[in-house]
Amino acid sequence: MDLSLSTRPAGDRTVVVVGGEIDVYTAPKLREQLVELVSNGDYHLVVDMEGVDFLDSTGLGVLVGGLKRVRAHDGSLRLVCTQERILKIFRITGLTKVFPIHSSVEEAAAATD
Amino acid sequence: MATLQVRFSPLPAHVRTARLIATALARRSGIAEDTVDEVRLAVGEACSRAVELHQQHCPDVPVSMTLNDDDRHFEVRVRDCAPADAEVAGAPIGTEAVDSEAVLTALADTALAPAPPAEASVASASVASASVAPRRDSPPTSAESAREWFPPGVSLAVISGIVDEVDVESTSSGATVRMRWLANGTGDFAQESGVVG
Repeated sequence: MDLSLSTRPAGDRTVVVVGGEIDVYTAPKLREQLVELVSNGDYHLVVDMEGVDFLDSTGLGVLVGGLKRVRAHDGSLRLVCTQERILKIFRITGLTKVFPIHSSVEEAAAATD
Repeated sequence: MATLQVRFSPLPAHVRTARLIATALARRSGIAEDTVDEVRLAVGEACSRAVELHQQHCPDVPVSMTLNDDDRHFEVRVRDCAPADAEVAGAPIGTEAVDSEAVLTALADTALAPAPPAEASVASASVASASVAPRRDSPPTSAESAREWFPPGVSLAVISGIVDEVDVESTSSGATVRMRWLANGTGDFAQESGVVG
């Protein structure tokens, strides 16, 4: 499965819906999407990863890059993920301390801390 | 014992194919589905690491992946051609098991730290002609650029975080990442040890 990407507004935030596999091949496309959003002034992002089938460290690198970009504008990047196999790699790499991870887009869109 | 060897050009697109092969053979060897997910991630990390190293050091040389199933174990070896010092500050290369703690601590620190000044200067240079706010990025040009601020050695650290038996053997002509799982499902191993159920 290739990577699928779409965006939609949710209040004052922008939801990026990601599906498929985020790996060394597809991660640059996600990076491009995040860079484009930030350049358009969308600094509060919610990345919905419920449709992600596979995520490796290259994908994590892109998410960290996105986080740094929005933070440079006092923005935020929240993740939506309930899949154990995806959450596992965040735990292994210690990135659960770095990303706010939510169980639904609604929860992420309403979160303030 | 069954063996399969795959050699592929160091292209990011082939990493997915390598993952598919590894997961298919892992299932055949009777590995539990939860563990198959680990095989998929670990092999993906090993192969993307090798692809990135080859792209930097030896783009014309194929990456080699060898899979063995000896009824008791499922083993995957991914061999690269990169010089031993290719991952300078990354996980230590040697015959010892990879120590991932330092790399992963560095990873979290890197993620929390502000973007380094180098990023800003590169970004502003890329839009100098456009005369807009200097917070732009150049588009991704390779698999390597996607990794962005990550410290080197993250792939090996992830592998050692999910695979119990892993070692990296380094020679002057490259390194081999060897990962091994117990094939404790429905294969011959279960019959030999009397746990057929």
